[in-house]
Amino acid sequence: MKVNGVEIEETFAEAFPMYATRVLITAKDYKWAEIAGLEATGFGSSIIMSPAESGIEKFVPPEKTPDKRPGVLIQVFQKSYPELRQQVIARLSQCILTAPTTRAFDGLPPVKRKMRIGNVIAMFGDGYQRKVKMFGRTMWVVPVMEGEFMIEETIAVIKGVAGGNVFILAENMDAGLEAATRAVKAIHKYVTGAITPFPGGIVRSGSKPGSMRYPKLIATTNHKYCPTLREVAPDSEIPEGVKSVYEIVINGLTVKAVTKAMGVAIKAALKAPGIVKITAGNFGGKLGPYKIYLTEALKAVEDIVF
Amino acid sequence: MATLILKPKHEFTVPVEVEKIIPDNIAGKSLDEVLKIRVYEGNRRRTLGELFEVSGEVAEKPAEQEIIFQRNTCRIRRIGEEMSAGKIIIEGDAGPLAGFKMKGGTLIIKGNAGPWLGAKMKKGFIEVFGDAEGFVGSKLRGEELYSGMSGGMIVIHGNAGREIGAHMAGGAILVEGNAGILPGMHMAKGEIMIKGNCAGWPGTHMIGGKIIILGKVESIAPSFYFEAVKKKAKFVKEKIPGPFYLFLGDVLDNIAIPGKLLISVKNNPHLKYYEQFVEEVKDEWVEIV
Amino acid sequence: MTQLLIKNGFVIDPLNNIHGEVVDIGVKDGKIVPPDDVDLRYAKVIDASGKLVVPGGVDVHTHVAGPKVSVGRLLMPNDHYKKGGRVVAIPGIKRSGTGIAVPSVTTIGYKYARMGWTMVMEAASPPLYTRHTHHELDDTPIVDKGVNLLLDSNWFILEYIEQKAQERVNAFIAWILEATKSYAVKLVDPGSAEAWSLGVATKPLDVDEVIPGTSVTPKDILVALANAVRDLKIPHPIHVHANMLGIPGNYVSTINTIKAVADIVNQRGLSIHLAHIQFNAYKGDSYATMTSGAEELAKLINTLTGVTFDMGQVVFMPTVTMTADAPWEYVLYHITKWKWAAGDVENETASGVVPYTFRRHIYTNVIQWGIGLELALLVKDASKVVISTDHPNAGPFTRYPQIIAWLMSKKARENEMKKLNKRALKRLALPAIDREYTFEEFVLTTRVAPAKIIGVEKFKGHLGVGADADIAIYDIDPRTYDPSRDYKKLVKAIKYAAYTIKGGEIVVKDGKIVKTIYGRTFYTKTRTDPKIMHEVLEDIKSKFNEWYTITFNNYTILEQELHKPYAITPV
Repeated sequence: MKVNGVEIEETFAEAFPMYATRVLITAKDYKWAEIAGLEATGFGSSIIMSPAESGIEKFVPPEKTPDKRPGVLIQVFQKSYPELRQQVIARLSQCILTAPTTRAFDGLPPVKRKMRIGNVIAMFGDGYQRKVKMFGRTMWVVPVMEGEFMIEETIAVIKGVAGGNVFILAENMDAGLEAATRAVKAIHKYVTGAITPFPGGIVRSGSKPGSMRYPKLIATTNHKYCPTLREVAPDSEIPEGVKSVYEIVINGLTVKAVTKAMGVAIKAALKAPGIVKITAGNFGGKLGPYKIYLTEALKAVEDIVF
Repeated sequence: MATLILKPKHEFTVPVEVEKIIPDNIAGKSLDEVLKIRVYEGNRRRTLGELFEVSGEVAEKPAEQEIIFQRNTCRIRRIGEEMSAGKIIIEGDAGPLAGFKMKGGTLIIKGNAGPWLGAKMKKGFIEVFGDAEGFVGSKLRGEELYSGMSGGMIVIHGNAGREIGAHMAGGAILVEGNAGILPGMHMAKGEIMIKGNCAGWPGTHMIGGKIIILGKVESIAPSFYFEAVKKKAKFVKEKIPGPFYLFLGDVLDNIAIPGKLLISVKNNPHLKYYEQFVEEVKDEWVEIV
Repeated sequence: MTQLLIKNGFVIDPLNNIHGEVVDIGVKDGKIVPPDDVDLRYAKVIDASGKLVVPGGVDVHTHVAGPKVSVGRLLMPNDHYKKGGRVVAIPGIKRSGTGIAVPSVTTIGYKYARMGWTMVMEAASPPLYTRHTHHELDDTPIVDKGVNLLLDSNWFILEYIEQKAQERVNAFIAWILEATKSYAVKLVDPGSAEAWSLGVATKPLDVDEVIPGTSVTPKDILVALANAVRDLKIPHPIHVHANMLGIPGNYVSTINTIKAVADIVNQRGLSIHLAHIQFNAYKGDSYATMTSGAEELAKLINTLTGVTFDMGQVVFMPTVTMTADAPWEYVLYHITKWKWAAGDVENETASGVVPYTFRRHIYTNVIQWGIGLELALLVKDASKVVISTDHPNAGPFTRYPQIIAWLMSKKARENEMKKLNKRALKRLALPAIDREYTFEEFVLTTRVAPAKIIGVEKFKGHLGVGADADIAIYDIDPRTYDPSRDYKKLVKAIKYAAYTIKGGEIVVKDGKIVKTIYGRTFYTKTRTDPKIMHEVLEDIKSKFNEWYTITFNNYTILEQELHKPYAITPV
């Protein structure tokens, strides 16, 4: 398929389930909400070595939050429930509890499976903490030097979707980066329920699982898409004229959110000049139960006009 | 295959330790030499000829040697210890520690087996047609963690006692009847399948490996997390039809590399509570808080 | 009774000025007599030509009985079904047993006797549980024994020290040694065990730190107990497991401990015995940079006459550490992360048991191995050194032959060093030490020195007329045999003595037990001012019901509860 003269490969991104949670952080203003959100999602790139995959989803206006203050939604992904719980406790207690004026709420109230987080973090109150009903939620109030910190008792946990991705093959580095930046910006703007868990949402060093040379390594460089290895690697998939490839990794709460985010990303990237080809990474359909085709992703966002 | 038949000369009233009566030790010897192998009766040193009527023949190589224990054998312990080839058949019951540290070959027990059957086994095959007592394929008391059975296969056609596969680090145990409490305790690797019921707490402290239970399980340790409902399971390359509840744990020991607990959905209606956790996330829930 | 004549043996007996001569020795009624007194019609003659005849060995510091040894056995079932750890019963001759690192009670006696050792001192027994210790000692065959009593954290003593009432401390010690039928005063990490078990101290204490909850320092306890031992004329000087054991940099604490009591000399010129000094001679500030403080300590000990020590030599094998130094065991458990048992003995002391394996490739363990040998080789006078492994802390006592080989043969040390961590060896002085113990020094460090320290040199540790007939005969001839060349022969000869004679009876022949007899239990009976004793007793009785779970009358161990008690009364 060709759109605007750019080839979009007939392939699919392979996604797999991963435990996920969404936390709503509110603060006095957007500035402090953003600082707290950035801090709490720090070092959250890839599960290969990060303690979790995490990112900021979007900002929430005051009228939509329980305590009528501006907020930010963050998502945290991990392989298993206990590890996720440990990560959420660590991140909320170290980054949100400490950040000025913040409160933490469950970001997915209708979900039945909950992690008990609030009562654990409230133990920081050293016996002075108390449980109250407030904003229609069960909250723990922890006295702190600033005043009081509030956190919801339980936070939902679901099986999210991780591993949605788009590869942008560009004529040069600047063109590729411009297209990738536009794609990430569009995801934040138009999609709810999806995050891009890498520095600025963009990956410059996509990886393949395992190694051809070092048996103990979990992941190594995706040599098929390294432009400098076009002549060297026998199985290189770099077409002529491509000098730089960027990957956008998308995690989301549902398959629909990830599909939509991929579609938006492709659409936004196509607007940028100097793009040669758009494709996606997969492992032949063996690894993940979800196959998200690029064409379907584009179809899902037909009604969104930039 | 050359067969050597051992019959006790009298009813043993104290334990008899026959760890030296293995094909590796017997093959290539003359029958007279075999009769002089030392055997302990209680704390007294005896020879094989003093305690057993020995008949049959001796093979050249351990792999061709078959040893049959007949008559009343329930006080004979450490049968087949560290054997690496050949075959031992016990026509009655076996005492404790049968197949201890076994390195290969076959051990067949036609009656029941005592505790610590196949403990610290490395390789080989054990088949029990009766019941087995506790600690099948486990380590001995006080030893280091995860130093139990590390390879081979144990099949028990009857029931098994408690703590089977404790500290297991490889291999497989199949119990066709019921099993006692705490199967796969401190398990690190390997597979256990129980076709009957389990008295409770499977896989406590496990850090790896897999336990499949087809019957009813009284209770699951609270340190296990529910993961999913699986359609089928796999036990030593064989596909077992499900569905199964999949639990991961034990998080008290290791939260990063959990062991797997697969428990039959059909026979465990009391675990239905967990099914609510596998609901699909609806798209409208995501929209905004 | 049996009469024996040991003929043509090569005898080394430094206390009687026999430095290697062929002398005949007569034995009659369990004592050594002039050879002419033996009636050859009834006597058994042992031909010891080409063999070494020495007094029976004495172990000054070993944990062989009591509750913590039992806990050690419970904690290590895997030690008891290992191959090679099994003693098979021979009816009428010996009883069965198992175990390598912590052997069964009966096995301990047999294994000591098989090496030619005939007296052992249980290193630490809490007063309240000393009845248990005596029960196990009564079941330990062949060897003579005695009990070192843990007194450093006792509430009564701490209270009297706070009151600065030295006479009361003396009276209390006189009472408790007799009440528990114990022999000597043992201090373990003075003061910190009780403070730790109460939860007021969180780590081992240094010599000059004030013990939390009191106003005294470990130094005060050391001085008070050393004074008491001197005043009461207890034969054994204070037996000290110094502060900060096992912690890098602790050689300074050890030097301070020695200096604190160096001038309090008892009637026989001794002031302090330092137990398993190897654990207290570490330099550096962490385990990664730990080095040996042996040189500094050896320099100090060489200048002082009243200081003796045992090695606490590490051997590389799985062991079980057990000590009343509970805070240190707590630290060790967090290093090993395997098993730990902790105990609290009412208001007397605390304890801990942790299995540990010394390994050849571990830097710290190799440094520890080197320190023990360095100390033994750098201290010039071998009669200040006693061989010990602090059984079972640094290794079982069955490895003494190996340690003797390391001391007597540089080649043995070099062969061992080939297998050890190279980085650690570079930081040890041991490879450069050329000294090799002579056979006389071997006798000094395993027989004479411990007998002198314990204060039984009148009838142990020599072969003069009137001494106990405790004799070891080894199948080596020092005239023709050079241990520095063929050390393996030495190890074998000491491991399996040709003969061990205990109390005039042949108990071991060619390394095999041939007879089971039971030795005596020594205890100290001292005298003190009756008026103060009466006061102290009143004080003890008034507090006993409040402080203890048992009554005063049940606390005291009567003489008839022991099989063969033997009181030593200082003169």
